[in-house]
Amino acid sequence: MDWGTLQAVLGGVNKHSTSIGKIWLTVLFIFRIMILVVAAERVWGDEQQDFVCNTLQPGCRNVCYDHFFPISHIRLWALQLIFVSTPALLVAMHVAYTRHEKKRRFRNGEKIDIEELKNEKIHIRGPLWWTYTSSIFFRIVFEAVFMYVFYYMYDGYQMPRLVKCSDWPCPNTVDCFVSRPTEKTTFTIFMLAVSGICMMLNLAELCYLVIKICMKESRKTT
Amino acid sequence: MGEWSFLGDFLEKVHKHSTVVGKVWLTVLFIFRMLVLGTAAESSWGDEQSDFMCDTQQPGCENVCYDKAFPISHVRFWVLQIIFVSTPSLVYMGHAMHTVRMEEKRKMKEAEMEAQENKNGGSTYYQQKCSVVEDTKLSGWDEAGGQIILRGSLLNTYVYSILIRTAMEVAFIVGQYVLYGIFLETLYICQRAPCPHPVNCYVSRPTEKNVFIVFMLAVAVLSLFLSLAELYHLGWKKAKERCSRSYKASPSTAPGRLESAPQAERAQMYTPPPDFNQCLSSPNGKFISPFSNKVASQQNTANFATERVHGQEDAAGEGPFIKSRYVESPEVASECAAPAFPENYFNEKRRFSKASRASSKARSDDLSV
Repeated sequence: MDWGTLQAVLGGVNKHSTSIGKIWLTVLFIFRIMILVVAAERVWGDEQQDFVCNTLQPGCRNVCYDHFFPISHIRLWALQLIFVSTPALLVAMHVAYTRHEKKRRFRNGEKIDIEELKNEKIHIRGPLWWTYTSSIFFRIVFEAVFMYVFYYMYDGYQMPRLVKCSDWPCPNTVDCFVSRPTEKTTFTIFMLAVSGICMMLNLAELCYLVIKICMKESRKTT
Repeated sequence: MGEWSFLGDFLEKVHKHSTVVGKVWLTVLFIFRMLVLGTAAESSWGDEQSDFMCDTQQPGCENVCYDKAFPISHVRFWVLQIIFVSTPSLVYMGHAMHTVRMEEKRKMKEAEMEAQENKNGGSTYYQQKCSVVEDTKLSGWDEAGGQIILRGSLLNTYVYSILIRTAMEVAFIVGQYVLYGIFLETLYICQRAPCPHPVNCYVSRPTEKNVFIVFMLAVAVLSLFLSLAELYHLGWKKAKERCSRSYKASPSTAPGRLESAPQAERAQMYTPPPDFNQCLSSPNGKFISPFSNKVASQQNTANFATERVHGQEDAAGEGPFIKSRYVESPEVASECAAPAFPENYFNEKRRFSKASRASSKARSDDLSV
């Protein structure tokens, strides 16, 4: 999977984020995407090959693997990372639209501060504040949804060593053994912990933005 | 190695703002750990499960025995080690970038204040400049060089990051020893359901793996040593700084006197009247305090004599300065409270002070340094 494209896109968003947003982005890239690519993909690499069932019945192993792993952890994490990064694209689009509007107004002869136009930092105010806050909100929602999906699909976060399978064409209840369960459990818990940290960071950022705007409003009224 | 580019890019930035030993540590990390892991070790451990053979036909026995023998593969363990060991440097880099941003904001504020003061007329100009200069010293940013100087809170962050890094290294080295010991045996005897009895299992490529294990262990110990050396170097530097600071502080009674040369030059730049500069600056440009106890008493006697002898004489700028020099006053405590008086104001003050020439008490309108 080519995560470089995502890095290129999100790198642009980084400029217009708050400090917490920048920390979140760093955690995302180093502790999630990098771990996924460098370590987790190798661990899950042979998950079907080394899924062994105590039977000679052809097809039983395939069916049992499919029953217990409807979607592999790796693919689920990749989807989670993409969904969680997508709201940041909304912010990038809004910023691009704002800049485009400014350029248009400048061309039409309005007095625009050239320095500010050149200076790429755009403050999180007004409509951009709403876009940014809603992007953080959606991020939190997506994280929570995926964490629940993991829990629901795999009955908790621990990878079992032995699973018992009686799907057709298996003739009876068959013992199937998962490959590298301890290592998989370690990485599942690690990714879960980092998701939790990312969610905390997003919540903190949301609180920070809300408090900032409340303080501004109170200053205006006093 | 492309997969490591995410971390690599971040660490490149850390590289710029590290000490010499820190740069060596980062280079060791990049070349001897990341590169070796990515290229050599990965391929050596590539077939670790497929070629893990157990002397049994029991289905599932190999899986469970492999899982028992290697709860986490060496390669993944080293990946986690590299990431956790690099993380404190990222925290330091975050702080450094924050410092840079604060500096930029400060510069913008300065420029704004300058513009404002040029409109209003500079009465508070000097104080504001000096307070800003004080902040610079704490932040540790060298304007001239564009480099971050390790000082104050930034130095503390750096030291903590190295301490945490060292702790992580030790934890991972100990963890590796606890999990696997030092060397990998060729034979692993496994007893775990569904294996019917203790079963002989054979590890794939044990010698090659041992070579890499020893290599990575040696590099980890080297990194640990470099971290400790850096701590020692920083600790020694800090102690040296503290000693020289306490030595400089003892002859002077005016607090906050220990400015570095750039700050002194900056302070000098902000004093419009040339006479004032002549009074304050020493030939080498350092901002030393003229208000030491010993000097003060000597000046006292000298100035009494001068006053009696010269009387109404208007010395070219020497008179009022001599009077103000020996004044050991509380107002002097602020190094920045030097207002910009016009030339003739001094003359008026001189006349006033001659009327009360016997007194050597501090007057509020005396020049304070």
